Amino acid sequence: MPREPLARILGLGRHLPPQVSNDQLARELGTTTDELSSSTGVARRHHAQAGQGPSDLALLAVRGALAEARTEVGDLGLIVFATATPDVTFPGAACFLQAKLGAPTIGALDVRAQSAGFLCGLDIAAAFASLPAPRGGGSDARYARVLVAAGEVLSSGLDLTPGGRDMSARLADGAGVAVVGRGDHGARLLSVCWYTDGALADRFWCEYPASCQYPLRVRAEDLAAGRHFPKADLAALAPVVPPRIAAAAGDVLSAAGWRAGDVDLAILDYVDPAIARAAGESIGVARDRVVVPTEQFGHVMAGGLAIALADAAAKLTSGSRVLLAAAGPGLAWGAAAIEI
Amino acid sequence: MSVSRTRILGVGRAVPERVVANDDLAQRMDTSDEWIQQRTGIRQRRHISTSTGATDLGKIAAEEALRSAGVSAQDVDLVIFATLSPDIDWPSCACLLTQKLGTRNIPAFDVKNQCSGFIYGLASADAMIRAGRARRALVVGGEIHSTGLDLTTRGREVGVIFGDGAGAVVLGPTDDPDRGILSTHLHADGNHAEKLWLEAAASRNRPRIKPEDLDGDDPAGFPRMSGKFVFKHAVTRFPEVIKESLDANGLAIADLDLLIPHQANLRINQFVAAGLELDESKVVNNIDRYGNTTAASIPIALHEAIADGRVAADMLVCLAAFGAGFTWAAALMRW
Repeated sequence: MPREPLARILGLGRHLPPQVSNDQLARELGTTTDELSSSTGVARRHHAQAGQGPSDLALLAVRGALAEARTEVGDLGLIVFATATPDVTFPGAACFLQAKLGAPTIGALDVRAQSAGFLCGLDIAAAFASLPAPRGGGSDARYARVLVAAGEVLSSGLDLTPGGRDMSARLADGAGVAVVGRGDHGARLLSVCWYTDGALADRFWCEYPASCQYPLRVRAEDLAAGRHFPKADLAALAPVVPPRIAAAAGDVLSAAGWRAGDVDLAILDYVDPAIARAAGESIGVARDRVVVPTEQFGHVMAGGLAIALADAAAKLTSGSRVLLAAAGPGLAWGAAAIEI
Repeated sequence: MSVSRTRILGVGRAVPERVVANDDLAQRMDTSDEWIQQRTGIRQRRHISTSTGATDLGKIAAEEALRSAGVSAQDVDLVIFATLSPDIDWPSCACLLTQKLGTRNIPAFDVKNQCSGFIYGLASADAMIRAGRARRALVVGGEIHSTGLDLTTRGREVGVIFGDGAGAVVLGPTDDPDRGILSTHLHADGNHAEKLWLEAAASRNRPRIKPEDLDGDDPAGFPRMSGKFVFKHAVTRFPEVIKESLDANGLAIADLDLLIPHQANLRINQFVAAGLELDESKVVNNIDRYGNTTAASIPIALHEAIADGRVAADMLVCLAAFGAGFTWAAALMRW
């Protein structure tokens, strides 16, 4: 008996900006082209151009997703944008995307949940899509179509010198979008579960600008000291991440009524691809059924799962069972079960 | 139990101890108590006096809200933190707050919707509770503006307005169809994003922040505002979204018992109340004491209104906001 989905994913799209030359990046980071890949497991990465924020990357992904969803911009009832690297400090990327799309004055909700951002966006969108109308009598017509965008422009905040080698070799730019709604067609979002553990916040973070710092949240000397660059203690996180990804995956598999062996494709996103692969083994999904976004285009935090899902969905047949799982700064981690 | 609606179960707030009066600012910049009061209605605001994050104030506000709701931190299963001035760049304030409160490992995210952030967060929590995704949600609005303001004459137009603070609510489901949040209404118009904004750090700039952003005639690292333009849109969008929330529920202005508007400018709120023919006794204003605390203003004002006995059972209460984005929003509830 098919389970009732939380919501439908009616259309998907993704955009990656131009690929950065591995030779050039290796030179900037004071390493060799081979070492750049072999030390991180990241084959390629893409960097946005000057003037491009996540809203610009998402805009380039939206048209295809709307067409697939047979949805006009004017039919959208809400935009949810997950990013940790908004175009400007405020307002958020959702407002910029709404204006660039020429959408009506619908809500533009900006959220940050780091690498769980796409899962968070799907969770929120599914909740709005299932809201009853204010005075009863069925669903709230306003939220029949919700646009979820998830993306980052991390490259403009990286230390592109030998001192920033590890993060700069791993973090990259891109965006993916999903049109979420009700209906009897489209992929079925069966379950989404995600979690946070703030005890590990300073193991993978970007500290500055930091409003908690008195009297000024960022000073020239903070920039000179590189306190505004992302930093991670990946060795400390290595043992922590796979069991958490596996537990979240277990939650959504159980909610969907699937066993690990039923999964046709698992998209597992973490900044260290080897750890994402280890999580896949913990879940019990065969290696040839695992896709690790970071291997293909670097870690795009909120965007990785969305981009890889858009790529995968285009190739999968109807009825395919897709597991999404990710972990990242926060820690925030989680999973989703989607039947294409 | 079938989830009919979402109710506010508890409210809390926290503001820093240090009071910054208009005269204090006049010693740092070319301004005056009279000028600030005439244009904004602000007499004083609170600023932190030692390194303190929005989550530090948020923790105090959240603990009060949990106490008043009779809910333990262990029972919270969703945290939403609305802020435009997070403790650190990332991860989110919501993450940091779960650690400070000692919650379980739960979904926690930040909402960045500026002055409308609290209502956007409330609307998200309402949708997730009604969808069965949460039973005890904590929604916090918290800001530390003072460490990001240009408190010299160059930055005075924005610098005098903003204050630090936090407010929090605990939300849960009710099966009473006539009580709780009746509906929420979210809007935005990003065409005016740069009329009230903080550019740097800006991921679209390369690099996203540089020393020049912190200095010069019009530094991109401090908030900028086209005051008259914002005012004009605010006094249009506020009444529009308040009426929209009433219309959606078959109610009228005459049915409204209390309006708790975002505290951006007393003149905006007076203009809106007059336009709606809403008696001043039905509008909560406290900007004179706190300035504009963006995402924190509504829960702080709600907390004060409850403490002052202005909120009672069965009252029809409207929360409404307008601000940077532009974003605007309303939440209508039966208390």
